Amino acid sequence: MVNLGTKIKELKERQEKAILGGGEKAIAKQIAMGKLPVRARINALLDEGSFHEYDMFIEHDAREFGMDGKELPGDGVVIGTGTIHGHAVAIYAQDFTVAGGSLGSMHARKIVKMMDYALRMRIPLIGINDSGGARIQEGVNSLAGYGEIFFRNTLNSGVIPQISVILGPCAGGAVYSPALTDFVFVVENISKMFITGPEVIKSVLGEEISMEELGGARVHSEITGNAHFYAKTEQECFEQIKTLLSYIPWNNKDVNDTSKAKKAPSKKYDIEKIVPIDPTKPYDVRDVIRAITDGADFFEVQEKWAANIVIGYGHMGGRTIGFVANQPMVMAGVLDCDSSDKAARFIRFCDAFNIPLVTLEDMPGYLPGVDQEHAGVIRHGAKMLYAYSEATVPCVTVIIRKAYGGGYIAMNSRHLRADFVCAWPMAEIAVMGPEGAANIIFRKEIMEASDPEAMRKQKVKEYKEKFANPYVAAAKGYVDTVIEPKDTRKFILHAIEVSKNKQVGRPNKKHGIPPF
Amino acid sequence: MKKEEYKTLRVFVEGRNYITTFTKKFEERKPWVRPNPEEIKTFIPGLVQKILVTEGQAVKTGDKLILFVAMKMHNIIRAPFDGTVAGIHVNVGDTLPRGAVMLNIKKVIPNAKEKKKKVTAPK
Repeated sequence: MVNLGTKIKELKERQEKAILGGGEKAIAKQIAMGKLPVRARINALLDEGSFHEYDMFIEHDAREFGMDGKELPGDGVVIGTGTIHGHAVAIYAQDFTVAGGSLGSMHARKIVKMMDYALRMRIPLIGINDSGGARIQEGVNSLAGYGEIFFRNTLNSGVIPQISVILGPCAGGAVYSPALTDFVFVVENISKMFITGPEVIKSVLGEEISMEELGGARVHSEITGNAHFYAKTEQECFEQIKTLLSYIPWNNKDVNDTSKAKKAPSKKYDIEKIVPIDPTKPYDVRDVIRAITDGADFFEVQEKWAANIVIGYGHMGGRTIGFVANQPMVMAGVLDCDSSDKAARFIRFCDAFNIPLVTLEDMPGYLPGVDQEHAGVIRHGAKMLYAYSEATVPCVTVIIRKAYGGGYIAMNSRHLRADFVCAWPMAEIAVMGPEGAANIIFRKEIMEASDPEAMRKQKVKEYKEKFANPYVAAAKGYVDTVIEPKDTRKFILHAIEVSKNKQVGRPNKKHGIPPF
Repeated sequence: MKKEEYKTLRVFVEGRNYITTFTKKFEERKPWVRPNPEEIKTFIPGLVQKILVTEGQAVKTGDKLILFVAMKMHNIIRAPFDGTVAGIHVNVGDTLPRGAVMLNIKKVIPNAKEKKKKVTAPK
């Protein structure tokens, strides 16, 4: 007798088989590598019991190279929706136990289904990458799958946040999906990303390098800048993702209001004691951020890469703010290729997702050097100018100490359309540092003086008194006001509140052409 | 007319050889060298203002090694790990480019008993 009971039994059997993926042996191998099984990852990331899986019974359609009749449960990827902090997200996670998580056409079609769904529903997309790469037996169908994914990554960009989690290998063309997304998470000893592996490099160039040294988690979070967050374990990584999602909006129309829990500023950070008056003394600019946010709240992005600029999120008055700040503690806070790239991309994310920008400025200028010039610092530096000029979210700039030369313009000056610019009393706003400037302006006097060194010192002092202050810029209205450091939080909160209905026009165009 | 000179580029492990020309940048590239963490290098061009350690001195993580003035900032170079100063390669007043080796610090090998914890993933 066929009844509902037997039908349910069949369903359960099918589900169990699908959930087993590549089998117990393969799962045990995955665990031995310090990696969680695919559904355990999803459950650890999403709110408990919120995951709904789709396309569990998908079957691959390859027929060549002995693929006919081969069973690949779910075709090596798990897709579905669930919630984080009670709000819906779309997720896909590759299953390394099934054919090495290789990407075939049905595998890609599942991922694409979630990507389209995320865009349609305007919810964040999270992708967990753990794959050996293209399924070679499927040939160009596999490549077509990647292409469809990359195209949608681009389509979704700036509409919904896209998060890539690298929990295994992600090599060859596969790396371009994470590269197109907004945030890339990596885990020590587990994540591996590269275009060509160590073997190919050895055979072509004769250079020997391990997988970890070439494209491990540390490399991507410290050297290449491809990763945004680095964790020691998968669990820590999932916590980081949840924290990030407590700051960023769900889509580009989501309102960034003052609804987040309000906390008073922390008493631990005394803003007047953090920054030394002497412009040659370093300090940690993150402490300045912590001194002005709600409850010393600051969540840093790309902490280890290009650490001479600090980017990240914090709440102020219950609203998410994006911070860009020069870091005098690292490389004197100079601007260079990497720090410009880092800031530019962050600025564009904030602008796309209605997150007001607060810029804290204390930098001596661009890093001199043949390596920088030959690496194209002109092109890279221009990205930051472009991103700030393009931004239409509320923008507040605080000039803490040094604002010299091109860097003064680049760090969201009035001229690039910052809405509010304030300076601290010890700010120095000038074309260059007093030493350099005096040497050029007073070259003749210094050379002709009976004691050139004494004359030089005197002229430096003269220049300092005349120009190394915020009042020249304030006299022109380039700086709106000079404030006491302790009033910084009040100034920013008011500025953002005033700008909450900000509307600006820009010429109609298909799109601009940023110096990529 | 000058005849184009072609070179051979081996691309795949068991793949093909391609006859091609190289870009100047490719020809002049520097091979990758495994970084030596015991070498304390300059991260930015600048001037050695003060050397705060002597050869053979034991240092702890975070100890001040050198006062390095660069981009108008008085940067303090600190010990990245516990060790002993094995060599000082710079003098006070030296102007250094980026990537120059300033010091060698011999790392103290931590207690041999302190082995890496085994990582076991929860089910």
